[in-house]
Amino acid sequence: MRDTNVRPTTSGRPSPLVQLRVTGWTKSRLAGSSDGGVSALIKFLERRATIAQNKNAESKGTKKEGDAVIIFVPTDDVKSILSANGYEWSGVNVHIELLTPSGPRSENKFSVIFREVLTRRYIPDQKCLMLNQICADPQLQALGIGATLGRRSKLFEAMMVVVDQVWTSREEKKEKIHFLSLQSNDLEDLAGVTSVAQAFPDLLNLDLSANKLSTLRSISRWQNKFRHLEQIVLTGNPMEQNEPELLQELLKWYPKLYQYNLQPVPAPLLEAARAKKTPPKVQAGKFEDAAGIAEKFLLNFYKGYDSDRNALAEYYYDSTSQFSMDVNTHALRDSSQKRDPCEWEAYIRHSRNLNKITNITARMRRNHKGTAAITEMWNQLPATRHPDFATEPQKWLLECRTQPMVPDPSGANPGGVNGLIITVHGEFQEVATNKLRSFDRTFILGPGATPSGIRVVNDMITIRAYGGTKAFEVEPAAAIDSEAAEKQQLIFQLMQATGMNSEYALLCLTQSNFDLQQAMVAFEGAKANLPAEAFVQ
Amino acid sequence: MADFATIGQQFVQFYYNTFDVDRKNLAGLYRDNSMLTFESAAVAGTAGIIEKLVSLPFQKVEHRVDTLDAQPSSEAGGILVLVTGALKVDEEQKPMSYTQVFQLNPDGAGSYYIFNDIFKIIYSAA
Repeated sequence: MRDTNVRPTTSGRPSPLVQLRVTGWTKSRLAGSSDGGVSALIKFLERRATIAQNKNAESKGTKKEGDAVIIFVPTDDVKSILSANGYEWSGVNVHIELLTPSGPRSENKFSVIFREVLTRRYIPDQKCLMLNQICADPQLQALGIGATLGRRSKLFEAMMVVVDQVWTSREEKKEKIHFLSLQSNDLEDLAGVTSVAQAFPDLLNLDLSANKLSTLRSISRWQNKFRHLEQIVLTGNPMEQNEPELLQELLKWYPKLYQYNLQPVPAPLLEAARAKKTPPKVQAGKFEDAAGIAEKFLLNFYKGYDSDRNALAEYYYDSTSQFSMDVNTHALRDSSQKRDPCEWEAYIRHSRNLNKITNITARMRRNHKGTAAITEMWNQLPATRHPDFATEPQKWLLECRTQPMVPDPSGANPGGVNGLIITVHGEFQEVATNKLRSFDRTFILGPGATPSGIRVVNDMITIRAYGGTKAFEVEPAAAIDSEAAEKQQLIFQLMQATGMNSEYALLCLTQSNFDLQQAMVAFEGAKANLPAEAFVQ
Repeated sequence: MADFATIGQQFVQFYYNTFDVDRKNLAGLYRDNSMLTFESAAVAGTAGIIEKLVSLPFQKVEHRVDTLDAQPSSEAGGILVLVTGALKVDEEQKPMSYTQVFQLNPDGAGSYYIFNDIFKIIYSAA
């Protein structure tokens, strides 16, 4: 192995790091510790080198590769650390070798130049790497590269290899480079710069201005990259004119984006995008819906209820589904509505309020069972408009919990299966009168032979005068939720879902890393062998 | 055996009467796998639930049930109950509107216990 890779540090340049491969340590006395002894091993090597060269030696990073650990050390310290090769540490002999990952090529003329170009174009104070107008760089021009398109794509690829030698770990790049400029590089698409996304996955700020990017498709390769991107600049690209929804789309791509073309993203757009990220937004209460079933149901339900109730009933209800409604004529009204008469005519004759309706036949008649009866009932109720979950999340208060022992229409589980109980508090506007009303609705969902695969088992709604949304606002104090409380919650959810007692639920969760889904699977696998004492008596 | 609507009605009457007189006596209606969601706080098990209810920041409370509805909800004979109403606490003259959902499960001894209890204030004049 040549040691030409080991060069003395020159002032003003980042000290080049050398990679050393350390093996033979995996069976040490410290193998049982949480990191297999790696940190202790490195401390040992550093200490030894410090003594050997009578000057502080420190590794700049490590990565594990199977049985080997690669350590990155400044050139100056290499010799001292290498001298520990074959020494005994913690009961084993460690082997250390010099690694030259890119071989002699890393020392060729291009690499040296690239390293200089990168260093010159890096502004440490701004944490900024300027790779703009790269083809006009005199140093690169002198090398005769960058002139043609094909060569330019190779140029970025080669340059990113050197990037990884200058800033050797992802952590270091994340720390030192927040902003990358690719301005004025004649880019028509990202084919030539695709390696940039791999090199800088944690970038915060990207400048692609003054290129020739014509549509969103030209940059779609980076749709799922740069998960932390906060700012993007696209001015001076044809796509600005060609894509009227450009910013909306970018907000979907980059969840943290808040600045666009050096301007803050307008608040309404930002809110709409954020709301869409987690529709429907859930306030206060708890929403346990790991599979997203309740969320999808709610989105479909209220869209369907406002536009096509027959189709909605066919999609989610079957012959055993039940629906009933109540009118609360006493509920408190929002001050904005106090002058309007309530006009309950359209609803009151269907109200099943058991406090008022005492005749058993009337009670039965007002509990609507089966798709046909439910559809018929719904079609007698005024047409509605519900607020959009995405744009008006503050008008909803939603909760969802696991509901065990929900009837299984397939008959495969006589004791029932796990379903969901969803409570919804919200409002709607009557299309004909524009009157606002508040409602409280509870659904129990289970599996079903409906087109959606989901069946509404129970559906109960109370309609009342509009009461506003003030009560839905989150109390700041409610946000406190310690880890212990979270675990407690999981234990009880598992207890509810499985019937196990707290001791066994805790045991099951501990073995499943406190992942409820995983614990459920573990329970299903083990339940035949569990003793009776595992269950709530 | 009474029908589910009557059971729901009797249950609700008993629940709020007990609540308004001395809420720690509600213990008999919960079990260790019961869950109470009171506004945004969730507690489980009889002891935790009663502790939560007793710790609520009022001495005197008066529930008024405006609407009550019930449907059979599970193979095992469970009943889903939806209540809306108003409550007044201590000397506060302005009532608050609330909703409460109960999932009642048979306890195997001819009676019912509260499996899920979800309480929400939906209008507060304050």
